[in-house]
Amino acid sequence: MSKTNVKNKRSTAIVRRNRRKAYLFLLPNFIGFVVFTLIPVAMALFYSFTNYDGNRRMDFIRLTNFIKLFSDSSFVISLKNTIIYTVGTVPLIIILSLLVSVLMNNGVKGAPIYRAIMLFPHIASIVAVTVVWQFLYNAKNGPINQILRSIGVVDPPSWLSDQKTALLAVMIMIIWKGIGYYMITYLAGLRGIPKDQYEAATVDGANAWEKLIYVTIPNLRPVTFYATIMCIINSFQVFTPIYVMTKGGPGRATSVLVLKIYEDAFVNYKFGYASAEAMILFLLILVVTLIQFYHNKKLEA
Amino acid sequence: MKKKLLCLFMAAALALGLTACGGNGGNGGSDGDGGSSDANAGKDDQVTLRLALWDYEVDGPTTYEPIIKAFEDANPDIKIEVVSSPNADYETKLTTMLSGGDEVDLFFAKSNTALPGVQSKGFCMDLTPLFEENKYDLTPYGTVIEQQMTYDGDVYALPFRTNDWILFYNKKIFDDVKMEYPSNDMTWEQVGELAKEITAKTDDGIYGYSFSPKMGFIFPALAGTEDGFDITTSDLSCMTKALDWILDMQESGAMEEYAESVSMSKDQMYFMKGEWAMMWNGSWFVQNLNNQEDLGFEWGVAKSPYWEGTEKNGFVTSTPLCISASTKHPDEAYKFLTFMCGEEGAEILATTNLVPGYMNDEVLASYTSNLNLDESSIEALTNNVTYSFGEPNPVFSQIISAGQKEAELVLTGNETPEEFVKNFEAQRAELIENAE
Repeated sequence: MSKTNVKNKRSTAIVRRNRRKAYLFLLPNFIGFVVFTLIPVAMALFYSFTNYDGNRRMDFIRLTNFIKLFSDSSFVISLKNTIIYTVGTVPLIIILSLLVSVLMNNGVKGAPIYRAIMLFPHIASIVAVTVVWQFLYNAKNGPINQILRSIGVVDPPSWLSDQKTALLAVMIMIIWKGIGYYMITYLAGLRGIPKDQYEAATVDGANAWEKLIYVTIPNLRPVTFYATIMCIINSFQVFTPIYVMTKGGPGRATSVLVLKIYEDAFVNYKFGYASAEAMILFLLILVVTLIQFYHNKKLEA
Repeated sequence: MKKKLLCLFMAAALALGLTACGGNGGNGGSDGDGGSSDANAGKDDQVTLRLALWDYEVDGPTTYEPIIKAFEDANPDIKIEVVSSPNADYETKLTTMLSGGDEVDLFFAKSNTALPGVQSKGFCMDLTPLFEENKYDLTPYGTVIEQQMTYDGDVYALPFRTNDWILFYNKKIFDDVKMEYPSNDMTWEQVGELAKEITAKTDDGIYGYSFSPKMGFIFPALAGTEDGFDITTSDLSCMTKALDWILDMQESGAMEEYAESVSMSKDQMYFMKGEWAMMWNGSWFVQNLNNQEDLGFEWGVAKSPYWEGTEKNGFVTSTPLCISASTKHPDEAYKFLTFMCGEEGAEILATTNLVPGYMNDEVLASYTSNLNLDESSIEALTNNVTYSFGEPNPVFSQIISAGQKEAELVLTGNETPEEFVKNFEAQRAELIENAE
């Protein structure tokens, strides 16, 4: 008894000393986080209740910004577009990358080559990729519409210049680009599923589909959880492809929240107002993430 | 041993992270500095003025450098440090610098339409007391000061250059189809007919007319559809005239479809490539064209077309130079402002094919003699009657931007000109209401 006590004491001392060291190691990163993330976020929260314009005296205007937001048609359109974009891309990216990774894992011939091909869009610079897709989407001579015409579509959509298809066009590109990254995440997850579970399923007479539904997907739940959260956050924060491809156009058809925040802050000098918009974006992400966490906990239990 | 290695590795990783952070932090202010600040080391009494502008790497040698150098020679106690950023990022960069407390003594506003936004936030110094104190004569600037630089009776900027919008044409294309060059008195309707004729007579790939395919270059034509137009207060239904004209041009094939031009990222380069017979653009384009070697064709300019039933006037923009309200050297900055935008600067600028905001007989003579253009073209560039978007106000640029977005929908076939009027009017009302 006393022997273990002494041992415990010594180990707690070691743990404490190590912990001190660990904190010391964490400190630089933590300082960076505080200075470049935490303080700005707190400031943004504060600004969102003011009419700060970058220079003149700022007044505390309470909730005026938040009230104005919902009578601002540009904001409402951007919010709607952001939600459509997220709902449209996230499930497809997750489902497709899961399917692709399962196929890769099941010994398709030349899997490494396919894997490289699938991953390539993720590695390529988003700006370059976007510019190339802009050419692909060209209404008259773009390859996509040429293919559509050759298979008999008489009046193919004019993609980026049509209000109705512009956002869809961006979404298609992002799904294509997003699959690679989540495929790799899933591949790592698939490696961690014990072989004996599949063997047991085979003994029980399960076919490939049943194995996917009852063995693979439940085992991948933590990966799916991570992938979905990351994907949703990325979708809510989409900016670059939209900025490069359409600048929110035609009209306001592809305007999204971050683009609107950027425009209000850096073009219109409405920092207070833009901060309020950022807070709405933050709330959106927070709520969705909390729901995810809650849901995941319930499944785990 | 293993642990030690791990420790080392982690320390290295952390150090890396730290330097990355440090790098980020430092970027805010000083990247993109065009000037060198080490030259004045050791001279304590020398004042350094920081001047913000765009595309110094491109336009510096021809446009800015000679004037800055002349100023520094005349005022050895003042040094100019240029803070440059790329054209497309300039306004964002300027916002960040001004509101972030970065010390900028003088800055160019992107154009007169961008000035109200900066001015209404209090970034520009009120120049009236300085002008009065120094008895500075503002008459050589003409009406532009009152129309574009004055707010509540006070002047907040001087125009460095003014840009009359004129019709550029490719003489070779006109010669090839044996047609007369555009004259200095044409309506848009006549230009349209001319463009259709040229398109019919030339090979594929040559268009009779084009705007530079960005809304900022097209939208001004819409504001000329009524005399005394003011984008904040006027009835917008007059704009349908211009939109109908553009749609007709697109349909007839005399002008490439806007959506097509945009998706091919076209710009004024296509005029230089000889694919557009006529193009409406600002007078700064004269400098671009004259700086081209081996253009492969002769070109001329005609006065801006006007809409039937309106006065013969053309769009005008200007490039305002402001003194930052927070400068620590107002006297030196004033000296530079009145040099750069004053007679001395204008004399130098006039030789570079840009139109100085400051105009007198000598400057004008110098400008025209350096153009290398035919007489009719020189006439097109001088004595113009002009219009703009109307009275500047704090939501001015937001209204213009909303109008551009809405007009884009018409040009891409998503909306009719009538819907444009309705939607733009609704958005304008919303912007004005939300600003109050």
